[in-house]
Amino acid sequence: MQRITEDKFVEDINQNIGIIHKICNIYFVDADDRKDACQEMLYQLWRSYPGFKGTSKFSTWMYKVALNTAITYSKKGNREVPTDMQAGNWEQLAAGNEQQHINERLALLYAAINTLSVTDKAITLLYLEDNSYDEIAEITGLTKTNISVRLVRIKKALKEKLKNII
Amino acid sequence: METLDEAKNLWQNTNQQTNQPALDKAEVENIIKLRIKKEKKNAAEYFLLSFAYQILIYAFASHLVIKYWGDNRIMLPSLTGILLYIPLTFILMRKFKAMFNLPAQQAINLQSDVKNQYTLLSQFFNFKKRFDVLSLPLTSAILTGIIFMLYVPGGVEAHLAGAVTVCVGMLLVYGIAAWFENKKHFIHPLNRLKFILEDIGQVN
Repeated sequence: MQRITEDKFVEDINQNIGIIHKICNIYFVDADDRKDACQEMLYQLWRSYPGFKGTSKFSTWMYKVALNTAITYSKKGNREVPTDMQAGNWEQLAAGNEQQHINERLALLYAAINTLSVTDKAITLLYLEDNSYDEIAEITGLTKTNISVRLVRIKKALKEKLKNII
Repeated sequence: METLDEAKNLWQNTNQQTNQPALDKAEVENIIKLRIKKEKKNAAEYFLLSFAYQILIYAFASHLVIKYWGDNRIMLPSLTGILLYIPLTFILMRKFKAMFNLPAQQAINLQSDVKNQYTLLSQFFNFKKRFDVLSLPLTSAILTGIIFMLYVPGGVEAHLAGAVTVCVGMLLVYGIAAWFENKKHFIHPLNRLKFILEDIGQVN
């Protein structure tokens, strides 16, 4: 990549660096896996950057590449959920939560999202990031109807887990 | 649905407050260099594993051609082995190159990109299965023939049952090795991609 393009790439990435961190936090529980995945995303973004023509928002393009990397890069099992995030522990986690710091609630939200399937995680993240249904459809390749149906299901599933926490 | 909307508020408030450290150019360059190095290392490892036994075949056959130059009983099967293997190696190398010089992600959308990855990997796997079906029996047969010709008095004709046993044994060993290799490099990754595709395509 040419020097000017490299500078532009770093600048564009830095303006949207939160996307990489949020996706890594949602898809990877282990700190080492997370670090490794963040680097892999950066590498895939760098490889794909010459193909970015600016026809869509940079953040939309970045979501596509980073999410694709996250869901295909995971070395773990398909539906593996860390033991401390399994259903039986939710009430325990919620107990005494009123006094906990807001970051702990955020951590619990991450944990709840972590129990979803790979695609539902992507849809949830995009929804929480306030992307429109059109944007979610563009990023995932699903129809708006499909996204709508899945969001209803996701809301129901998360509601069960979050009702005593948030 | 109030809960997820509350979660959305929490998410946006807290994430806006979080300042992620910016990357500097040197850091980005360093990460990219490391990833390229890692990718090359992985490709080289797979390359060596895939070609190690073919290199052995070529080395062994070439050695026999030179050593038994003029002795058609040994020289001709060895040359036949080399000639039969050259196109197979050539095709494998071309496929291998295509496999490891993957184009950058097209970033069409998640569904299409995962589907493309699945198609590419399964195409290579289908080719490799056909390659294995052709090359493994061929290798076993040629090696058995040459070994019996060189080291067993009377050759294959005098010890047909023994030769068949050795050939089948060799085929079994190669087959097991290929099965493990396929499982690690193709079956597991393809299953995972298939699962993701099913998950993306799931409507209800």
